[in-house]
Amino acid sequence: MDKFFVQIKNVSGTRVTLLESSKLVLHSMKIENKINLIRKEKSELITNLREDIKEISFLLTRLKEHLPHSELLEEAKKEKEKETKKPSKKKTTAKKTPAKPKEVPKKPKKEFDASDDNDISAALASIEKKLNQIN
Amino acid sequence: MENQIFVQVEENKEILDILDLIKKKLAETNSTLEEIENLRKSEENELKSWKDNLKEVGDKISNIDKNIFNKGI
Repeated sequence: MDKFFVQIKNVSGTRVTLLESSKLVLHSMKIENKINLIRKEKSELITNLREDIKEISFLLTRLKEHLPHSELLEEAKKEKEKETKKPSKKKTTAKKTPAKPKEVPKKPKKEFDASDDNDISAALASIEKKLNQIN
Repeated sequence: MENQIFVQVEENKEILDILDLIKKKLAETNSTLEEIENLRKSEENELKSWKDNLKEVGDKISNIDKNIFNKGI
């Protein structure tokens, strides 16, 4: 079978363009590596951020534990109302000291999972409910 | 009048310590977020130069194509 050839015009120009293209492709590979490094670093920072947010959430829970429970507030309020309604026999012995905090029975709670959307929504709803009770 | 609530002094100290820790953690998260933001910007810049780079390769390949097959002449 006969072989046919096509003449390449501007040989050196074509070669230069081809070499420049190769250079650009290699440069492109370098950029890809850089992007991968940036993404890796970003992912590590996001993991750190997630950890920090978890710690803040834990600290807030600890803070809540150290502050008086809202249930106690309700009870103190009810007791105060009862005292004001009752004819005061014990009035002379009644002291003005704040109501003694009663032990609130703790319910067995499922541990909060920050990666679970349902858990977050439930926590948000509970906070919303408490806010509504206050307002 | 609203009910008056009291917190034990020891508890109060603990509360202040926790608040201090929360503040520190929040400052850390803020600086981490800033770093993430900076990385996002440099990633965006790299992606832009990647795009420009590949466009240039495309132009050069078109030139070679034209040179070999005399397209557009």
